[in-house]
Amino acid sequence: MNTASHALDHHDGHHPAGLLRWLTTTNHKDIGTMYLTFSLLMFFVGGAMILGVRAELFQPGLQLMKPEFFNQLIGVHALVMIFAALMPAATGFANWMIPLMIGAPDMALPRLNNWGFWLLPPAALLLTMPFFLALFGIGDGAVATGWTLYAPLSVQGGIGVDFAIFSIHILGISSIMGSINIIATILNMRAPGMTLMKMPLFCWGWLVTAVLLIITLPVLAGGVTMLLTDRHFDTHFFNAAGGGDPILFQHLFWFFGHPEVYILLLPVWGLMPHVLSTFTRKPIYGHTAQVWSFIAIGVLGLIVWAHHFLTSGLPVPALLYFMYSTMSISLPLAVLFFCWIATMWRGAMSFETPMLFALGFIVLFGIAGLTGLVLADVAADAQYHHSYFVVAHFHYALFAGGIMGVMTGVYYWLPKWTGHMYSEKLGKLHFWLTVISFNFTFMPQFFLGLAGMPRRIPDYALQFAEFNAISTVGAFALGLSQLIFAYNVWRCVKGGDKATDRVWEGTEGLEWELSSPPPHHSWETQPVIKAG
Amino acid sequence: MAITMKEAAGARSWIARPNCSLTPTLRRGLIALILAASLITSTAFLLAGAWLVLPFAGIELFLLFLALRAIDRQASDYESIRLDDDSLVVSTRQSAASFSRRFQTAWARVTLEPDDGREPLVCIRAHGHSAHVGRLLTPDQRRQLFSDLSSRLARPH
Repeated sequence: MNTASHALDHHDGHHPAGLLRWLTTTNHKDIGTMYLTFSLLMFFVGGAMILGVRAELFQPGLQLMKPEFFNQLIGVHALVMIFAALMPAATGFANWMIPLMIGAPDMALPRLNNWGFWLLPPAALLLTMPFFLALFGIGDGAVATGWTLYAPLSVQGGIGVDFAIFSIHILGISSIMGSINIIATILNMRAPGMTLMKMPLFCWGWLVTAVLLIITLPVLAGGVTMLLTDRHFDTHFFNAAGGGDPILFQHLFWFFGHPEVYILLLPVWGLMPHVLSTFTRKPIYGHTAQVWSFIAIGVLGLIVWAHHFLTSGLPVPALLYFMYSTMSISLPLAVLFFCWIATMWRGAMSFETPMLFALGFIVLFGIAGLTGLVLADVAADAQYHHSYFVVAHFHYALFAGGIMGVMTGVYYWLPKWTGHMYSEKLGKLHFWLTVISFNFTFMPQFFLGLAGMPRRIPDYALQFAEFNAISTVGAFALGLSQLIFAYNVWRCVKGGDKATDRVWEGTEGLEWELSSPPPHHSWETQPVIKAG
Repeated sequence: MAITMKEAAGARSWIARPNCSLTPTLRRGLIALILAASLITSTAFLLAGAWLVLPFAGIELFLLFLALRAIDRQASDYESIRLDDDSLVVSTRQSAASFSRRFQTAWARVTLEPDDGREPLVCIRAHGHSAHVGRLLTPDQRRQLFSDLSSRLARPH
């Protein structure tokens, strides 16, 4: 495909400056920047929490904190990382890039876009506020149930659970607004000639994500509302003594929670082919196959939720169904891996920072996929469930898959957004320190899980001491490495070598036709996509 | 934004419409997909005792409906000018509000006028009445339209 016409109109006036600009902006680039900045901030907040946890786990015994506070740090870390760091990062990418990629002047519903973002800070505040309230003797701290909020523990928990429930509601409303906007933008604002099958894979990844969010979020909202009424209005949805069923909450939570994994990963899977194609100087291999894989993963992701609680006493036919359906997800995922590798095959590869992160993503996310197959096996899961093996598995999925994917995108698009090149030297240093320290942190956790160490405990048997010590050292190195990332981004925003419009040699797509940085109002003249 | 120009039977017309890539078939398919998935999910959980999922799904579908309706209203916006030897007719539709005005070609004058500090709009005036067009056009397209109209109106009738 190529563009027949485009314009680079610069009309930077007509928008307020200073704080008012950010409060009232409806510009997709401003809102994308706010999402990404918020995400980076919350990434460090969530990261600091888990460093507290890892410090406690450095040695057996209780050294630094009470078990209750330990549980709170774990629960809020997960909620912050998933809802306030990873999801906003992906939404930030969507805001910045979807209009540029499809040739639209902005998102379809710009005011909704602004409201969607500004719901996030109060939600994050609600989530973390109980920590501070406890300092003044109000309540007993933040939610201490883990991010799953399982009943009956959450029915009995303190005010932190109520704060978490309201926060989840607000985050859900924000996500719904974002999803509706993304669906409307992608379907209605594509440039003439850009059919759905010509649409960039990043947009496809986000389209499937947005549909998944719309289907699953009401289930989470219903579930946490039922939890709230059980806590305060004497209902017994999840109270076995009152005729309720605590396992029902697990169904409700994971019907949202499992697709949530794909919600976090699909935008990254959509981004990967663009990066691989750019740095191998080859067209994307299997565009159509990847689109259908996204759709297949979306559909399968909706029907496999109970593999997260295979040990809860499900009937044998259900166990078999959820085992086989979960394993079947590996088929479309294998298609994606094949296409990514085929894109690179015999390409003129170069190893700039985004490509390094993309390669790191493929290798480490592959480990997440393989260990996921182990957990999907009903017999093996009986051994590994609720062990550190699960913790290691989902961090290979969500850190190596999600966060490293986001970093791939940031390094890939940052020169386009800012008009400046980041420091390649610092980028590569960041990559190697991240990959090495990540594996030091989480690889030992596989062995801990295999040896039987349960998750979510502040103290452990002496036999687990060495691997925990290595994991803690790795975690601190991993946390500190991310300061290089923040500094590199900051340097790039403030200045640096001028980026060209196409930034990278092998780029394809409408977004690279615009200047770096793009004008405040881009695509004022409609581009037209021609067949080819 | 797309502007099309037609010439037939001595009359020339310009029609501008916003770009809308959402076809009716795609819209129906999207609604059917999300409605079916939401209803199946909510009903299954309703039968399992989790009836509170249903109202949330309803609220969400209502929001989606509002968004699609907003898109629909935008899709039906247009600005058109029809010019022949006797008359110049300006018709616009913006957010379901329609406007139409007829000018005598011999008396019509066209100018570019600032639009509340933004890029100027094309303004057509005659006999104390005026009509502004170009909200659906880019600045370049407005200037092109102004130039076309000016040259047409400058010809003897």
